[in-house]
Amino acid sequence: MQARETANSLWWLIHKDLIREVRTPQVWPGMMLLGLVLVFLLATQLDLPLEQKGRVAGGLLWLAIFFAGTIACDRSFSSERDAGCWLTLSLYPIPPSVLFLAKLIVNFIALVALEIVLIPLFVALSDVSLASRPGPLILIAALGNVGFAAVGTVVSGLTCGLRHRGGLLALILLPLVIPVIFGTAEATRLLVMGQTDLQWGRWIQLLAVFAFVFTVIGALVFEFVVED
Amino acid sequence: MSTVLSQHRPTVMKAAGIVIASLVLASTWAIFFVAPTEVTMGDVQRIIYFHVSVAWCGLAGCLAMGCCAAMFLARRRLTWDHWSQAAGEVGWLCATLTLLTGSAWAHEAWGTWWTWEPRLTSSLVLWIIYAGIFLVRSSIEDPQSRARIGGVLAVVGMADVPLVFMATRWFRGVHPVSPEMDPVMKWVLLASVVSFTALFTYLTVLRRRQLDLSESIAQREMSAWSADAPALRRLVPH
Amino acid sequence: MTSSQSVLASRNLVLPMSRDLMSGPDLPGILTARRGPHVEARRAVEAVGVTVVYERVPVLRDIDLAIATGETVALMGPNGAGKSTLLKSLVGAVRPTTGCVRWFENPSPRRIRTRRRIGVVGEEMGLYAELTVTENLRFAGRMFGVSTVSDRVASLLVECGLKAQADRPVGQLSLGTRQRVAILRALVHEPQFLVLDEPSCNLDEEGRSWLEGLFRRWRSSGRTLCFASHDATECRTLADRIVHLEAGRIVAIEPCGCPVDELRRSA
Repeated sequence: MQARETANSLWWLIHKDLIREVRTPQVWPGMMLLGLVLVFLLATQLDLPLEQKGRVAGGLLWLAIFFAGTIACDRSFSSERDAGCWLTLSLYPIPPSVLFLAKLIVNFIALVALEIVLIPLFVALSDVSLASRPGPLILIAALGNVGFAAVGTVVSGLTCGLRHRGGLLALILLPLVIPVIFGTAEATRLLVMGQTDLQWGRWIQLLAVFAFVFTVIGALVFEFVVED
Repeated sequence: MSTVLSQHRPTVMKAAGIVIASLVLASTWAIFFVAPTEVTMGDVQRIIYFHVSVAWCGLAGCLAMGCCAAMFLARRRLTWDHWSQAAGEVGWLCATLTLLTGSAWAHEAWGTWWTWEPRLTSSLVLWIIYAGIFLVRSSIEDPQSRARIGGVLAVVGMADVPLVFMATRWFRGVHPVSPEMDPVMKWVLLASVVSFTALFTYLTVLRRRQLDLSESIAQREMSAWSADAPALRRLVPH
Repeated sequence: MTSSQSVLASRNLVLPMSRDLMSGPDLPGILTARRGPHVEARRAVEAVGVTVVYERVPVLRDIDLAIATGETVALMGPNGAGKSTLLKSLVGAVRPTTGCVRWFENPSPRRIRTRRRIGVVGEEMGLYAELTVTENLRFAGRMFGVSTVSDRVASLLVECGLKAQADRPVGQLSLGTRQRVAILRALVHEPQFLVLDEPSCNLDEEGRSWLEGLFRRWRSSGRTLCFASHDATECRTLADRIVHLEAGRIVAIEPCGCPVDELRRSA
């Protein structure tokens, strides 16, 4: 019964955020535009021999995605405060961990939407063969998104009430997700070079561990995040 | 016992300071006059004794910061936050020294001021994480909110450190190797680590006392201004 | 004695008792005596020694306040007196720096089961401008685990006369209508305790009389209400007690209003 109620609350929290974004786009347009600009700029720097291009393309792509993704994380909670709904949201009889998971999933969905646009565009602009093996690429993206979204949701919740939050979110978030950035960049580099062996597996494990650890930590500390 | 100690606290701290200063001086003397000269790098290799010591203290500071922050979140006593901040600040100083000494060593060893060597890279990431946490803390006026937000970030940062270390090691394809060291070198290194850890602890205790006192003064000023002694007196950390 | 305390004293109002009398296992005689012998004196919420310090400024100082089940309490005071902070402390939105708040004999308003029994309308209305009135109310109902949420929302809208606005986005409504929707949002899960921060501030004459009717029906059903207001007439008409706050302290408690058992007889 309790699990059903929790799942129900989770579903409606996600539904509410997605409906709001569809009706009054606030996050996705800015995020997509920044992503497009970054991909365009970075792809212009990839006028290199194929082998060298393959070594750096993955890192540049994921940097662009995660930079743009900070916008999605930033608006997770600031949109609640701006709407005057922070107090009521924090007082609903739902565990803080459910609120955290809902926001994490919404941020995950935003990152997926971003990747659906940016990855094909990047492949077209840079002529790097990423699309030949979509399965491993999807795995890299899924794990990277969960890890990034987990930390991003916690940091966003903490910084949304600060007076001068300006660029604080990106400043704190990006160093914390360095294992994700390294992991996705290196796993993609090895994928492009056709080396999905032990070393590739090790990076996938790192991404999986990061995603798991910070989802659990985020769920545990979130009651301190929603306090006022 | 605690009353006796608190009454004689200034004397105890002064005595501890003298002992620790002596330890640091002794270990420094040992670094320069006891440890043998390394064959390849010569005297420049002695930077390592300082580098390893401050690197360990930087890491210990991050762990202490996270653990004390977790205690604050559990108990909500501001003194835990002061311990966390003090350990973090001294640890950040040590992380800065780690980068400087590592850079100096890299310049002599590899002819470059910077290399993406895993320990240096991890130290840089740690330094940036510390800096971000202090930046956030400095933007919050309310002590309880500052402690809560800084505390959560410290816990998340502490959990991140092992993963950062693993990622940077694998990034450079470096696998853990224990360096071969002369037994005398090992003892000097151990002495250096112990003395610098003692110095780190001493500075943390001093800084924590300073934070407690400044918070106490700020609250008494507020108390005098608002003429509301009874409720606020209970808030002063002991 | 401050100017407000001297005014209240001149009207023979009772100044707050010392803590020994206000808190303790049984409610003091001063509380039961004002409300009449028929009203059960079980405690709905109790704040004991609550102090809230923000940026080293005490916003609330040593507040002791017990609200009985079925009682209506109004908080009055100038701007900055601490009314909103006290309401937030009572519902668990703000953690007291010292002291504690107990609800329905449970230790904490942060417990989920306790929160299901409380309805809150804060300074901000807590409505999503992009969602329609119905969607906002249904969302709140789902968060509170209301089983027949669509029927419940439909009946609330009809009772309040907002059926025509049901499918309009909240962002397109007037402030007064939004305020009414915010109050309905707090009622959707049929709470036992309603907490409202200046509920009539955006309401026109019609809205105020609707609110007054709501408050009277609420009281006659034996449920508990606590609201903050600047409107002295509204407070004296609707509340059992008015708690006067000034600079974070309770400076007086004024008995007033219609005894609940009379309301029950007339309902």
